[in-house]
Amino acid sequence: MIGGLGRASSKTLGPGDLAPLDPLDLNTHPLALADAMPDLLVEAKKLAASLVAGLHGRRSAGTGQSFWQYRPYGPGDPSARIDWRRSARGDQLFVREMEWESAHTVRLSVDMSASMRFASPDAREPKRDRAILMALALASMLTRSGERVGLIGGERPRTGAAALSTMTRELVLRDTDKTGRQRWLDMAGVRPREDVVIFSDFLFDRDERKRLIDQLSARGARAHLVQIIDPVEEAFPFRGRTRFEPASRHESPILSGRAESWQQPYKTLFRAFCEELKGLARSRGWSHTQSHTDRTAATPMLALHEALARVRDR
Amino acid sequence: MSVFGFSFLAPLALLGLVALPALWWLLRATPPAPSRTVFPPLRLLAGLVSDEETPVKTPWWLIALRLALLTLLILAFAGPIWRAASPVALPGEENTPLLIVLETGWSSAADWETRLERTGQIIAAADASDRPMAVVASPQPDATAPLPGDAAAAQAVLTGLQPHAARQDWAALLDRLEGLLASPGWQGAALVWIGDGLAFPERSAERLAALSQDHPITLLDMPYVEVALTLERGADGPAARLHAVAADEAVDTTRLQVDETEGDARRLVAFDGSGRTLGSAALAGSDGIAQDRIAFDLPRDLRNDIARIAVVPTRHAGEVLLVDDRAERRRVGIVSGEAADQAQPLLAGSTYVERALRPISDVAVPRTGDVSAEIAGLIEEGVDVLMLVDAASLIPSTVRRLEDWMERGGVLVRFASSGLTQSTDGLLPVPLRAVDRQLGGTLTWEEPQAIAAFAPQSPFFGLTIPEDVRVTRQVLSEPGAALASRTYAELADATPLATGMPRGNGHLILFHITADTDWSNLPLSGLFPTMLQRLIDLSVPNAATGTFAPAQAETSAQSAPADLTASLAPRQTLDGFGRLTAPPSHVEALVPGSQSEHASLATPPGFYGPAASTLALNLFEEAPDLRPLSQEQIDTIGASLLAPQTEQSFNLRPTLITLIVVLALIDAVIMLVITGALRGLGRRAAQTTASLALALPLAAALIMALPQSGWAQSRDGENGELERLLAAVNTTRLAFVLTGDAEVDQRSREGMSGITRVLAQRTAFEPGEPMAIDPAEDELSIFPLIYWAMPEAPIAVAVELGTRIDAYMNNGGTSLFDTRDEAANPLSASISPQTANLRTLLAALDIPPLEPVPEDHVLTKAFYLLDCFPGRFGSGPLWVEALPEDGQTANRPARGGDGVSPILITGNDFASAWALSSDGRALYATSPPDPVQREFAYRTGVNIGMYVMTGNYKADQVHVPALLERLVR
Repeated sequence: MIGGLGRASSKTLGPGDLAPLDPLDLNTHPLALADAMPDLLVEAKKLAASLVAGLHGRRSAGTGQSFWQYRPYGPGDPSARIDWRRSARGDQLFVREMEWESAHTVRLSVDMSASMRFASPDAREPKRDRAILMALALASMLTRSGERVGLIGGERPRTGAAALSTMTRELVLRDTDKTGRQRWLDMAGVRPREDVVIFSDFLFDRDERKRLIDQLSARGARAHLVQIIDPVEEAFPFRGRTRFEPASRHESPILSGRAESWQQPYKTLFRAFCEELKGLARSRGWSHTQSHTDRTAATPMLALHEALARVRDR
Repeated sequence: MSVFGFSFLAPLALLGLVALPALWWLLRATPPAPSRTVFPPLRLLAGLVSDEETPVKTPWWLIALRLALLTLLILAFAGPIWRAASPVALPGEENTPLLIVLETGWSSAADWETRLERTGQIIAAADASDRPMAVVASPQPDATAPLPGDAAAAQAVLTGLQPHAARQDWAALLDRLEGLLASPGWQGAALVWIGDGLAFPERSAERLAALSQDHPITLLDMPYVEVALTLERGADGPAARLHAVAADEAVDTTRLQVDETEGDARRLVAFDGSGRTLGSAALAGSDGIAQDRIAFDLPRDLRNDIARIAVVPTRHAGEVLLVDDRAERRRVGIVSGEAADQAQPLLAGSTYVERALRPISDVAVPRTGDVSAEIAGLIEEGVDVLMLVDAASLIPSTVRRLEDWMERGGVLVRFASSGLTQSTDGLLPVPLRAVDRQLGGTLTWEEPQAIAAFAPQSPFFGLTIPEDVRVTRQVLSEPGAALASRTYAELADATPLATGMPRGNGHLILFHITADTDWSNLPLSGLFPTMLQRLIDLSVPNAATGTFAPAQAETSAQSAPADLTASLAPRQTLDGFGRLTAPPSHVEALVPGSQSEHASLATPPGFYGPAASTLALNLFEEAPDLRPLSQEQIDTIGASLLAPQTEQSFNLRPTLITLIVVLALIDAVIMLVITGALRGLGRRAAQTTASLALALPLAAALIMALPQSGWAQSRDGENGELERLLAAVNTTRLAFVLTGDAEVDQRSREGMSGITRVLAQRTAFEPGEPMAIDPAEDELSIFPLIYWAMPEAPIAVAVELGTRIDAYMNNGGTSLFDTRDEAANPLSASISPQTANLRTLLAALDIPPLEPVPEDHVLTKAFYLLDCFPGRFGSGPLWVEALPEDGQTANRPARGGDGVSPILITGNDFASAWALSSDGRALYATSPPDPVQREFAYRTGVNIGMYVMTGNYKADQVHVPALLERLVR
């Protein structure tokens, strides 16, 4: 069914081929990201605060940095671990134990391609803004609970507020830098058992999509696919003679004499596409979340959060 | 160009039809423009393309609709006219020339358009059969002898024609025709006669019959006029006599059958000289038949104003009568020996006489103070009646002149005065006693006398005498045999009140009382004007004006040359449609007494001569012989009659435009449906397409409909004038006169604007922005003060302008004249161009005596206390109307006279001193540059502003402290 996707143009569309949209087309040309970013940050923090307040410590001794408890020195403990200051207060020797911390790394990937800049009149914001909003909100939540967060293809993941600011900076830079946009697919730095969250509309070429997923599963990462959907893409509300134009210049427009007659077939196709994505994720034990830009971001955010926690707990 | 009964006004536009196949191809190839939308999941859609064939072709019916629309558009541009015209049967052989005779006199104007159209049809028919032709129109100023030509030349002659308000000159026309037809080129020519539907005069019919031997004549059966008017003067004023065209000899020719409905619509209306309606009468009487004589029931003074009587709506010149006032209004001169009675007119006898006479006659009051010169001047002007008020003794030369004048028919009315009893001039109907008689005084025991009833032989017989009229003083006559017969009016005790006697053709009348209210209250009563009216009726109009006749050339040697007085230049003439217009170039001057005194082509009906003594010329002086063309006469002439074509041509363009608009709307709706724009109106692309499709044919239709909307613009013009008036009335504004000198006008504007701001800041008087006015055109009475800067270029002052400004000043307005040359003494010897202009202007005005503002004038105290009135210059005085010397007010601190001085004259260039920039800085330096002088200039402006608004109120106001003091006590 989805086999038709690749046939529209003989050329295969690589993510790098995505060109900026016609700058005169105001519907699909949102504010430059640098301008929108402060608002997005505030929104993201609000969103994060409204959700469950972060991940918790492991509540067991481990190799963390923070103190957990003293315990009496037992046979087998290396003498270097004796806490002399505590032991000097009594006759007994004590060993200082740190809390075990799952110094977990979560990598985020935001699709910045041209199709993500689209926003239909019904949508609250362009898809890209939604993706960044959710990414920042997630990063904010994760750093608060001590996780290491970073962008795919960016600097190494960090903890704390630094991670958020690094991400913000990198996103702004990528928006303006043409070559930087394709880094979101650069999975080279991903290590096994890391969580990878991908925010995209996944509307690129089928082969490309398959390669991305293969790469991720080969590296043993646990991926979370967040599919951003514009309402128009799902409902197809067009009527009459309509010329559908691509988001990037590399595709050719399609003319429909009676767009309303295409509605049902298209809806079927789109549902199948979503099912396929979901199937891909499920078969690998990954999560798949849909976020509609005409609805609130909180619901998919909660689902994503739970998915992250579930994967972690397993 | 004519196809199947259609003809086209612009057949070239039909070439557009050639482009239709190309349009067909274009319309087929181009589908309606799609709505555009960006759609990221395009790859998903790609799978659907093969599912359904996109209908890129426009449906055939849409193409058909648009082709129909375009075809109609092209046809509409071509201006189709449906004309079910049948071929015109032309007289004469094939290929012989055709002479078209078109009558263009007064009787052809009523259906002028039809006449032109019929002529055009004849020309077209002749053109279709390739006959040479020419048009001869008569009466027309240029009587050329045309050669046979083609249709274009004939049509060109036709387009230049206008009907003339003249009767057909049959002899001249037939001479012309006979000469023309005898000339080579016109052998065997046939005539088409487009007449006025009236019968030919007998002699002309005979000559035409002779012509028709060689030249077949076809008469077009044209409608004829219904009625012509002649003027009658009766006791009830000018009246119109209606002469109807009678179809049947048996019917009374003077009676006109008037259609009920038409009788309602058509009325006989009397207009005055400026076109105002004075009276109106229905054409039809109660029996539906037109009255043969219609007069207007109007008061006498209004009746005298009738200048034009016309059937409304007017169809031709025969329905218009022009009336001059030769016969009606008497010219009356008032000569007063009282000196300087200007300041207190109610104490002057001439005022009462003038007021009484003004409505019923043309009054001339010279007021120079020189009685002899005034009398001489008035007699030269040709007055019918002279009123001598308070002129006791006349010098012998004047007496001779008056006697001569009375011999010719002048009426001299004298009023008694205290000095009359010593009079030696002898111009009295009865000898007077040396002393006058006083009744009802302190030292007399006689009561003031009433007036006795008028005797039957008195000219005043029949007038009602008010009971409260009393005479307290009179001059008495010596008793004598003649006294009884010469007494026109007497008091209750049989002493004379008015005596009179005929002198030659004229009259000499003496009132034994004064014309003012000192000796009696008669001048205040309603009896006074009626008595004067009776006396004026004694005069024979124009009888006394023989002075200018060539026979008495020695008396008028110094006046106008004889040939100028003899010929009267045309002022306004009637055109064929009965409209008064400026005389066309072929109109000649009218010489009274000559042949030209009858209306003709060269001297059409109209007004001739100067405005004061206009001569009105009418089309008919006596009843015209109006009969419709009879069958016998046609037979006599040997002509054939061509019946009129009844079919009307029908212009199809409006219908086509309506169709186009409807089709365009349908197309637009279809476009909306097809593009789906009806559902989502937010789709800009679809909207643009639809509106374009809608707009183009609509715009085309509107362009074609444009010429009909011309009237709307003229309405706007009227509204603009109204708005301007409203703007001037809603706020009190100062005004300044546009002199035509841009710099002067600019300064006036800035200056008046500046003083307006100063007034608003400093006083309770807050005028609106000053207005620029043209005193010859604009309404003046709405402005309290008009500032008039004199330009350097010489100005011309029309008489009308002078009277307008006089009226303005008399009605309480104030004009501030500024010569801007510092030496503002208008009496000084050295004259600047501005002062010369001021003199020119003042010469046309009725100016009271002037004086520089005296120390105690209210202008010095109206708001600020001022002792000088500087502007840009400081030294010039400000001139105002001289205040009357009055002993009672001499010790008052301020005097204001009885009103506001109608005129202020300065040379100090006020406007330049008052001019302020938008940020409140002065624009022009004073001379010398002195801030104090500028401040005083502002104060001058404020005082003038307050003075014109409050009048002498301030003069009373200065007594308030004294009054308060008295109240406190």
